[in-house]
Amino acid sequence: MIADLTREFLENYLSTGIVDILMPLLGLFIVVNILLGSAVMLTYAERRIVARMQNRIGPNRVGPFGLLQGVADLMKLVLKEDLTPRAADRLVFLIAPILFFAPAIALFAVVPFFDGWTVADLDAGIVYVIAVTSISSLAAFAAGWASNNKYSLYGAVRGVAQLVSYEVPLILAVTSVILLSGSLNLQEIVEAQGIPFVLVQPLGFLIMLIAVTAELNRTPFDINEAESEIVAGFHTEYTGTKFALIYGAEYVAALGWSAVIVTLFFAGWKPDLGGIIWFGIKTSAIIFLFFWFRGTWPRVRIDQMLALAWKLLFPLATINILVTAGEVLAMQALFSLEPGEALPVAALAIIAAINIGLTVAVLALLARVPGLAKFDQQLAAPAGAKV
Amino acid sequence: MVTLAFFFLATAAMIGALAVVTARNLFYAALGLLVSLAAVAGIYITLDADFLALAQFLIYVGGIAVLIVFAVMMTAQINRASSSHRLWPLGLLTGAATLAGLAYIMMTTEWRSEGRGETISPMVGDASSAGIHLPDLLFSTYLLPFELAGLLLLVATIGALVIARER
Repeated sequence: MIADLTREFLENYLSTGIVDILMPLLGLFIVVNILLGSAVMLTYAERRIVARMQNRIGPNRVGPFGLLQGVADLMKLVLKEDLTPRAADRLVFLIAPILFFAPAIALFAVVPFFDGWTVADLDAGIVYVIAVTSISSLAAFAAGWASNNKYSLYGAVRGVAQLVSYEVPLILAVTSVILLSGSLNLQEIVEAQGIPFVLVQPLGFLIMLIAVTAELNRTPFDINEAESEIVAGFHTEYTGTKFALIYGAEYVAALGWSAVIVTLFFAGWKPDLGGIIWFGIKTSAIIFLFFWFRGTWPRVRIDQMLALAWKLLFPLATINILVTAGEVLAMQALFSLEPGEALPVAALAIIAAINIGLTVAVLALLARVPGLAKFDQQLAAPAGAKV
Repeated sequence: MVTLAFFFLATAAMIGALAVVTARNLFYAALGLLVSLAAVAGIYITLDADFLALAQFLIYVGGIAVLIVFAVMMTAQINRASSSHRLWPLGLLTGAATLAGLAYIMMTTEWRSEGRGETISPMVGDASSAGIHLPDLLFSTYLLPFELAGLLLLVATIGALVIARER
């Protein structure tokens, strides 16, 4: 509606052809700026929330309740001198922050904010999400390599190992949702959720949440920028605007992945409370969860992190897919559905009952498996050490 | 618009491909490959093959390019290009043969233009796109190649385990 009004207004002054090109650019401009504004506010929110959890006050001087702290920080970063190390690879050093930021923004193209509110309603929306975000590992590596600094390179190498490892359980967790919904379109996945998939697919949700935390380089998986070990990891050499871009991209990506989690597991914009409000509340709740992780958990080591991905999450996710596929086949036989048809609420309820039971059983068992107790010891000791 | 997009993407793909073979720095070559592959994905979008474009992006840009980056990480002297260029006649021959083959296919293929603008989606259970069902094809007509690819991956995994195993 607003788009139509804007188009009419512009057509008074310009020819139709130019307006046709201008309109998408204008839309992009607005979306990108809203996202950047959100990222700035999220830095403030994170600092205040984590401060609260650590019994501190946090930033409260700039503006009412310190609300303008993020703006002040951004101004400071933009005004700072833009340094490029002499030994750095200038071209890649410049491209890397952009490569880092682009997928974070591009993620929002397929997010269904509301019924019919999607920038690009792609048939393979969820494949798009995974495809686009797979660049971020490359961006992190480019940044670290171009800096020509040993700490940067360590951070980059860690980052690539981490992102490549956690992409596997992430995609497998998403696959279990695709099996249930019978569609790759995010809008259709939302509509298929008669019951939010977090209840139908609790194990899948937990795996997805852990994998996304790793994908976002957030605590406890922020070992590629671990300041106690390698200064600031892959972005050690970045200053000023370029650093702001990397820092902002992490928050925009957090926002995007939270929106994807809400879409896949929390029924997206359903139930309909009018517009974007319900979706916004759910997304904020997931982001709060990420802040909460940071406020409570210490950082893991690199070997612990890779062991977690390959020895625990990957097998669990694979078993989860097999169980889900079996359940879907059984329900199709029980309710005599066509392959690919959305499951009715009754079928989802049965699967939910089974899966919640299984998840509780798995989580209870994991603590008692003798092999895993040894695995725990291995986690506690460095990889090479004799236990 | 589509023509404009095609020329833009085709130019990007060409520049990327040239960078791959001419760049002396291995990392620049990897980046060039990235640009080239991404541009080809863009060309698929202009041909209304969205799923193919996404698959190209996921597998080639997100997978192969990251693999090459791993290879770069293992390379000690990244700034020095390979010193052995003795195989260039063979390379030239392979290139010429590939070009001839592609040109032959392009000349003999009957290009159809009907159905332009309709997005064909070989999606899971997408009832609207009657006819093309990727999963059905994968598990019936192309079952043998699919299984062979699985076997190849298994062999590669075991090989990697054997090489990387601590002694």
